[in-house]
Amino acid sequence: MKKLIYIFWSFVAIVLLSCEHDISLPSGGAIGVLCINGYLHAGESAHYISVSKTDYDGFSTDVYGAEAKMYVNDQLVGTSVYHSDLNNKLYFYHNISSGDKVRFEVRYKDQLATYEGIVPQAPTGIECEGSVADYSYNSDGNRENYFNSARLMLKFTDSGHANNYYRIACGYRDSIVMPFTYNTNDTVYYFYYDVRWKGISSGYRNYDYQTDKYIDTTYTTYSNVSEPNSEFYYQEAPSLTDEESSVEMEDFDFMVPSIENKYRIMSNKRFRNSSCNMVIYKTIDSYAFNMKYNYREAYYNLSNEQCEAISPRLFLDAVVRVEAIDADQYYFLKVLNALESDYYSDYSELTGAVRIPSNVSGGTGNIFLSAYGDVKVSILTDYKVSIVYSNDDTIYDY
Amino acid sequence: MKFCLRLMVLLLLIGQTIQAQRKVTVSGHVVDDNSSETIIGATIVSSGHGTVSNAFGFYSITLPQGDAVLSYSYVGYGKQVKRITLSADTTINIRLIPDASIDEVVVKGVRTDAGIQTTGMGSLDVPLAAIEHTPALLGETDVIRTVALTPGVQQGSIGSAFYVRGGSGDENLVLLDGSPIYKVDHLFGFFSIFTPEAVKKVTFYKSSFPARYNGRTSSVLDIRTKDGDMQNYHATVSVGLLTSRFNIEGPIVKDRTSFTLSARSTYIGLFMRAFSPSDSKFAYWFYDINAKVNHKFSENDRIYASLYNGRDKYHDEYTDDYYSNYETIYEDYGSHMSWGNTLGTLRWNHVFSNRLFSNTTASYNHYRMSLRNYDNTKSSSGFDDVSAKCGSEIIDWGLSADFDYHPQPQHTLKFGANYLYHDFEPQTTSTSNKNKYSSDDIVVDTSFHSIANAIYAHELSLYAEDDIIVGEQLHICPSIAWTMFKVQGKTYVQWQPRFSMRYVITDDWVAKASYTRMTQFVHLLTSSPIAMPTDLWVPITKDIKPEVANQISVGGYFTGFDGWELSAEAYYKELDNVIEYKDGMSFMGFTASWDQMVSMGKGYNKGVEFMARRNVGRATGWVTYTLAKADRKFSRDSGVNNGERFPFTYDRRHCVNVVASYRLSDSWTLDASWQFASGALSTISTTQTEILDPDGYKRKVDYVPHRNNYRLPPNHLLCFSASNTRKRKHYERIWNISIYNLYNSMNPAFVYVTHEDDDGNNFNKPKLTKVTVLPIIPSATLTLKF
Repeated sequence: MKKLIYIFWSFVAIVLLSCEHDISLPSGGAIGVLCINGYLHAGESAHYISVSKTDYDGFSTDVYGAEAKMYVNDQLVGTSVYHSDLNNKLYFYHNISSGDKVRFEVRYKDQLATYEGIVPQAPTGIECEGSVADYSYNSDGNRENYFNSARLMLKFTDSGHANNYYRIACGYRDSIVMPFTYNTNDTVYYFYYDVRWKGISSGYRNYDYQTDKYIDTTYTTYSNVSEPNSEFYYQEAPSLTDEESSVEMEDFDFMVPSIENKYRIMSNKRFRNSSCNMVIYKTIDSYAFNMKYNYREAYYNLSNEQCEAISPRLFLDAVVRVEAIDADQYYFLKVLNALESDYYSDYSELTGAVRIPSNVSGGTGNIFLSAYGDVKVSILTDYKVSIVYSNDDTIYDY
Repeated sequence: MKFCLRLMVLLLLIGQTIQAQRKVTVSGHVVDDNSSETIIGATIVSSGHGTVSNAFGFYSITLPQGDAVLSYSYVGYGKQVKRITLSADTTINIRLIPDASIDEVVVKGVRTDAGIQTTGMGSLDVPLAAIEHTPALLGETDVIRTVALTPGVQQGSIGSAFYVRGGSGDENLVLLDGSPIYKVDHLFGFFSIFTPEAVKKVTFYKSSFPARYNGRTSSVLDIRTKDGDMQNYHATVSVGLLTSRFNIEGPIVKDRTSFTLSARSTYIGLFMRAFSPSDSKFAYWFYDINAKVNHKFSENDRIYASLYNGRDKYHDEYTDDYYSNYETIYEDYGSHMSWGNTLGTLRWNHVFSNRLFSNTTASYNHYRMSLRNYDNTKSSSGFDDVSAKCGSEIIDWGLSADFDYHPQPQHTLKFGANYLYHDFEPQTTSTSNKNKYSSDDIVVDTSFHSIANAIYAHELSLYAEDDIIVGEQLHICPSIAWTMFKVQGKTYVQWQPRFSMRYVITDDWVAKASYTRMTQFVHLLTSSPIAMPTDLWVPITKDIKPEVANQISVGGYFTGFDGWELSAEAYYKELDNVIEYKDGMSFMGFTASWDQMVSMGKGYNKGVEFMARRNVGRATGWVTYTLAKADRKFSRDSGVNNGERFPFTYDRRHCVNVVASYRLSDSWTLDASWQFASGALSTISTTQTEILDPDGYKRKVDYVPHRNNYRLPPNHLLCFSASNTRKRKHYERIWNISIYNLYNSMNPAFVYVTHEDDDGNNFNKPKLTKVTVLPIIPSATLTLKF
């Protein structure tokens, strides 16, 4: 597509000559329009909305004194006034449930921005099985042999015959239990997990740079938690790709710009009133996996038997979230997907400005209501990292 | 709907009861005396009765027995009068003599404007002379540009796009010899596909659509091509700055079989190549080929076979070599693109009797777009070949039968059936990668093909229309069309009643009114004001209903000033199920699920159009003024503009067109056109706002309060051309010098907003820039006619 635009402009520029002139901006404009944004989840009792106003360059948080009221099922459940400490956030503390009618009224000077919506029903029947994947996909969509991925087979049930919309997120929780000393004949090795480099190092004392203390226990456990997010690959999930090329591929871009579904949203178009099955891949960016590579250096002088004896133990859980979202959020995130691709930068001059969807009346912005269900999947349980050192300096990982 | 059918039967009966005297029917063909080319739309009048020749030059008129005076006329031809005593049905074939042949300097036209003479309204016969004498970009005579200078029609910011009465471009049905054609332009819309020498007749409808036309809601542009001279051979060669064309026609068997062949091509690529790098091969060209053969078996049977093929082709190829890993790598890479139509039709005309004429058509229409990108590397140890393809295709198979029936003097009945089988393949993509990295490797072949997304659809329409003479002053035309469209297992059935009437107040004053309902089953997906080859035609789906337009029009026409035709028409059009992309959406990247990206809403278009036209004398031309408004309204939950009403993209409040042609002498003709139109609408952002993503990250984005929130500065454009014609012994030579945008008006094609300067520093206020695409452009064309 870029090529076509190139041809077009070449023709215009070379043969016909195009001209550009600055012209005056329309008077008035849309300065100082009240903007409210927020994501509220069923089952949670702490929420915030962000308040700002439009400006020529970016947005302005100079909305001191803005007052927001939250209503649930027509009952006022909270009032919050914006002041300088709030980082343009207004907080509310009230548990909301599926089916609740939620309304916000935000006043700032002579402006009143309102939002009203119904909390969706949470998805049901969420099941997931997981395993360590022996391959994954890189950012170009090509398969690569990585070991730091989890393969997750997800299933959940769509309810009703209406259009429903979902967002899939995935996180993980991992931990490593490892010995920190090993005594070989005359030498005492000290091993510790260096949080700066996310790797195993050796030394004379087990020193933790994070806490700035020496550690004197036989075993130590390090853990890491990643909240459910959109960072995973989904090559076997046609519902998430709409059966189109979903990753940006250089060879395609000039003809048919592809837009990656970065926010992992989908409609129930392909599984209305039935169950949705998909396989997704989650890259586990944790030291539990990274240590497989780093451990080798630390144990460089150890025999295979010695390595075997001190192998660390890994525990890894994936957390898969299926979030029922409304149509407003679905289309908003679709636009965000496009905004984050090259598409709009290539075309915005020709297509005009993109009008970001808004579900706020009297102002702009978006308040989104959702209901989610989480399912925890054990990927590794007490997994023993087996590292064998060989003469050709190759590490075999089984 | 039953009411409409009953009404038609009743009106038929009324016509029968009026007939009391014995009648005879005169029928035949009206042809050009020089070439035997049939003349479409010739007027035949006798003692208060009148008719026009149909698309194949056939006419039929039923008159009382006895002495009759038949008058045959058509603009650009000398009038012929036949005095005859009618006692039985008679066939009279008429040969009209072109004005040029009778050596008259000035045009002696007659009142042939379809907007006045016919019962329908909002229709216009666009004379070929007007097309030839409309100054055009690079001297390239263009049917669509001439149409765009008529009232109620706007020209696109670039080239050959046109928008009628506030409708979008895909709402125009463009027919080439009766078959719909999808891609009507070359080079991103700068040129239309219609080779001027191949065109015989252009009729344009924007309301009061005859029932035989279906499938679009804004307008019908019916273009008929020449059949070929049955008497003599002719050739025309025309050489312009960027294009050249030729036409040859003549008899294969005199008075029996004739042919015509036209071709046009461009050499824009040669100019562009001069600016391209030396290590590249670059080419762009387009061409059009029109070919037609017709054979007359008898006075009652005739067949036509016609073919149109037109394509745009582009390729760029690069070669490179470099040293890597102790060996030389040879690389070649590039792109190939091509897009265009192939249209083939086979027609059979049969005259059953003086009163019944039939035309049966079989057609094949193929639109195809193909893009390919490749990158091949080769070395002594192996190779790596990568390619990616993208394609889009539409194939239509059509069969239609159309009948003209003249049962009584008061009735001109047309009825028939049309069937189209559509095969849409909106988008297919594939990649291929073959490689072998060392002499020990085997060749690895990986390829990917997108899931086939072909959509098949059946479109069937039945229609009947009757032009009824109720009295000397009143003509009415009730008509009805029934259409069925089956797609994705869902069948849509639409009744489309239409009605028009003409009331002759005095000899000089005519009043008309009409109501039409039109339905549209296909849409063009586009995200750009430029006609891109990647724009996709798609049919409606099980979720997207057909677009329906209901239009009422009233008009008054005055011919009291010698040589002038004055008209005023007002219209109100309401549209249902118009589609718009939801906010922030476009079809790019979302092709497979485009129907989820759009919402259906309502459209409201209204306006008044004034036209003063002079067809006779040394100075001919027209002046038009249009005042119009077009809005769209979608529901609150549609995701379109928060449910608020907004001006449609093609809303233009004021539009003025002046077209003038002055025949200075036998050899010199001066032509000029001037357009003024309110600015186009654009969606711009001058401020920014905050958005939040689901992970809690904030960012700034452009803020757009409403769609189409900015009206560009007005457009005004003066074009001028001068033609010099010299007749030599064996040929005629015409030099045409034209200047497009004579006073170099900086009309905005579009605008864009920038918040940062070239160094990335933010402006205090954003900057708005307009882009002018077509400044002053002179050109010259040489035409030789043999």
